[in-house]
Amino acid sequence: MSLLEVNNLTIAFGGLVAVDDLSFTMERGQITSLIGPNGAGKTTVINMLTGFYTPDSGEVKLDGELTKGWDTTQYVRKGFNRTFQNIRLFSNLTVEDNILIGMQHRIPYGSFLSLFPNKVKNTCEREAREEVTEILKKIGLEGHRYDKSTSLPYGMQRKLEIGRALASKPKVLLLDEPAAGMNPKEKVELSEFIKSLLNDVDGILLIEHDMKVIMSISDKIIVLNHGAKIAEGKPEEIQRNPEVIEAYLGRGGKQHVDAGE
Amino acid sequence: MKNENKFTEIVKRLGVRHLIFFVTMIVLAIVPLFVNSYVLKIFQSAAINMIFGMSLNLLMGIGGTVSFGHAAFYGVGAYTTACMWYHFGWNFTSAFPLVILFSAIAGLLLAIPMSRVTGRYVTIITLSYAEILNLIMRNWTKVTNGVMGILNIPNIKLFGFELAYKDEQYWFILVLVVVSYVMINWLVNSKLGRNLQAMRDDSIAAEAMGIPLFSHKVIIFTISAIFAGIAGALYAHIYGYIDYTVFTSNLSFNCISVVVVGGLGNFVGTIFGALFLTILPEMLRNVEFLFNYRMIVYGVILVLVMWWNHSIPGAKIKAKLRSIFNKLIHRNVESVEEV
Ligand SMILES: Nc1ncnc2c1ncn2[C@@H]1O[C@H](COP(=O)(O)OP(=O)(O)O)[C@@H](O)[C@H]1O
Ligand SMILES: [Mg+2]
Repeated sequence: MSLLEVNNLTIAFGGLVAVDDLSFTMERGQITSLIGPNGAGKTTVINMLTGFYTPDSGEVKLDGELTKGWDTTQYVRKGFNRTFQNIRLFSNLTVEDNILIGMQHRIPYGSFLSLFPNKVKNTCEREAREEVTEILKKIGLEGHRYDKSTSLPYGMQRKLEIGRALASKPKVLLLDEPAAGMNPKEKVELSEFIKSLLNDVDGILLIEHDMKVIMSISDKIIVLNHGAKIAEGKPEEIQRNPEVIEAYLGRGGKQHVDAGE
Repeated sequence: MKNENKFTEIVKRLGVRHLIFFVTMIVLAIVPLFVNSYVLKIFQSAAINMIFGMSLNLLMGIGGTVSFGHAAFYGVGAYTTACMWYHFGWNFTSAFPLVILFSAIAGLLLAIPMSRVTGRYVTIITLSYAEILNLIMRNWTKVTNGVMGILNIPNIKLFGFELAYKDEQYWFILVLVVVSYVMINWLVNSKLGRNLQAMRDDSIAAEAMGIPLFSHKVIIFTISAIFAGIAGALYAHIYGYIDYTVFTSNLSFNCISVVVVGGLGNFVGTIFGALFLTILPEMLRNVEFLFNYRMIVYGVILVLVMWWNHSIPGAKIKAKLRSIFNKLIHRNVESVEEV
């Protein structure tokens, strides 16, 4: 059974069909990438896969289980977590607290026990903070634990966002353009880092514009254009696919549009 | 030397803010020894405003929602305890659970529409909600005695012990200030408090991390309303007289000023905000040549304080003070290691 199965997913905003009859699967231990020009519908796919948008039609199965009818909290509990194209950290909270928020659904005490000191709360908080240490090590931010999240340099903020998502122990990690705004050296590091995340999660759905990143770490690439899938395959296959080249370069080989900026 | 180490330890354990809070409370507690009954009355009022202000700061600073109708909850608390006395002869202690219950319900009812809206609708809904409750206070004559209000509300009685003197009453309110402060800090430094702050900073990301936004909004509105209701109940007994004119939007705006002057999410700041904004108008009233202009002066001072809070020189000086303080503590820590 595939880790994730997406069947005939469709959503329209007004008259615009943002995602059109999209089907694909994600396999365990793999990085599946979603590419396509700006406005192709990539972020919309993530929004549907995490319960932010309800698709007009189509279905999603995680480990064979239909996601239909889940609310956003269930998506997180069942194993989806994501990062955002435009970084969305909790700006007034520390690095540690940001991670703790990612972890929150696994911290086993509720609102009532929050209201007064008690043993359960103390134990849970202590254990959670111990776990934060591990995550900080993983994302290389040990030295910034008590810094305000938005005081970090850009690249670290991206990593913190990934760390926050990791903290929820997702099965499927969805990364929306994690390399955006990074320099070439950072991008190489990030590629390695993303690859290493397969030790922590079952599968990664990666949206990225940078072809070096995509081609070096993807196991499978799905190409979207105007909401529809125009190609799917291994990196080598995608690179040679004439339809993909046309979507990216335009008919008649217009100037390459680097939609990443 | 030894004392200094102990001091450092306490500061580090408590945190600077908590230390300032407790020192302030001690100073406030000895105020009755030095002032006359007129001044003490002002301090009573300030102390009630501290609880009221902290309740709103919980909502604004932690919950990230402005409420322009906080007077409604204050009024519900005040009317609950007053009506229980008026109709059934209940005293403060017996009515207290109902004060909590009814203000909680009032908060809950507002939370439901509030969790679905943002921006200007927040303003409109909170304002009109308070307006509706105010109309009920005014027109539901059978229960609230209508425009006449409720007179001669007796002193607070704690399990048979009447707080007949102003200083006793004042100390009791201060105890409740401390209790509220401690409870609010428990909440803020818990998973619930952290989740709320995450929602405040970015509700979309908070939702993506699986935080149930709706239930959290309901919880924070309810708890905030409870503390506001308690403040209102205290008001009813301390002043002995309430009517609907007390609980208008004017009161809500004063409360917002207290929170903003003290700083969003800064509960020690709220303590000082309440002190400052309760005492200042009275002081201005007593300056003869200012009497006619006192509201203007009050307004100007308010604007200046807010400007200071958000200005660059203000921030610089605050940062400087903080670093000096940290250095002091740090030096003491080093001396601990030398020993
Ligand atoms: N909430 C929304 N309301 C209206 N249109 C939307 C909404 N979300 C996305 N769209 C539209 O859907 C299309 C796909 O957007 P998006 O998924 O963000 O593209 P990508 O991430 O591939 O750049 C765009 O035309 C965008 O304007
Ligand atoms: Mg996008």
